[in-house]
Amino acid sequence: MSTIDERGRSASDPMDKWEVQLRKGCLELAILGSLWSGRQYGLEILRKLERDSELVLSEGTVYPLLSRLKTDGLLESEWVEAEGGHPRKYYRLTRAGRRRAMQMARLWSRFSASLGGLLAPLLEEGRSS
Amino acid sequence: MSRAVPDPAVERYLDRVRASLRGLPEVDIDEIVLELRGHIAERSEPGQDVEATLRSLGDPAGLAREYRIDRVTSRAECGASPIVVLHGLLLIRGRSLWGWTVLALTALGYAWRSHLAPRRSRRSCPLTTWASGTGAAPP
Repeated sequence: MSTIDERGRSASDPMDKWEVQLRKGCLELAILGSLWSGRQYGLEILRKLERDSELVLSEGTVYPLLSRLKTDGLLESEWVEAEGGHPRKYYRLTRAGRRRAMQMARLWSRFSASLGGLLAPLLEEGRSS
Repeated sequence: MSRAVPDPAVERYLDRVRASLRGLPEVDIDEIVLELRGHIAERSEPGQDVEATLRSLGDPAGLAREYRIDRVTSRAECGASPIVVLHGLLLIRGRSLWGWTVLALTALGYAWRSHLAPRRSRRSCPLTTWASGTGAAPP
């Protein structure tokens, strides 16, 4: 049996699947962007994404992605002792990571601008109807 | 350094993650588990049901699978040797029929990328992969 969310859509709804893929595809850029101004640990990144975007579907998607970005050489990490007794793993962008974040941001900006122009008449009609 | 009393539910969860990551380097598994332990401890408010935090992280086997898949994807995208990629695929395979199906499909995809698709430079690889997913040309 499929679940129904607060918008009345089921988990197997094709629209939901598209939305999931869209969010996942943008998550990598969002993580790189959230680290642009300095180092952060996983939960800080997660909270920032929750506050500033609607990209996080499951907390479990963020940590493996951080691990992969580190493997790719885009992030580096260091362990720092915290007051609560559990060390925190802080991530920061490497030089390659900053370059990649900038490239992806420019690409995204061009992409969203062109798509926005294409969809403007559709949205205009949707508002008036 | 003070440590809280271990919560049986948390320990069970982390044990399942650890078991599902078996085959990866021990040092990597230790780091993953340590990071998740810190997340769970900090995310769970005092007196709050820790189960809610565990649920938000998702099924432990599924979480471990995400780590494995991302690891293999990273290697394949950057043109690692077939032996390295095959090893990674065997790690994510598991014991189920679904695991074998994923293994076969991924191996086919890797073979296509490695030998049939146009060659791409190692440095531009992840960006071109991300860009091609959005239908835009790489810079």
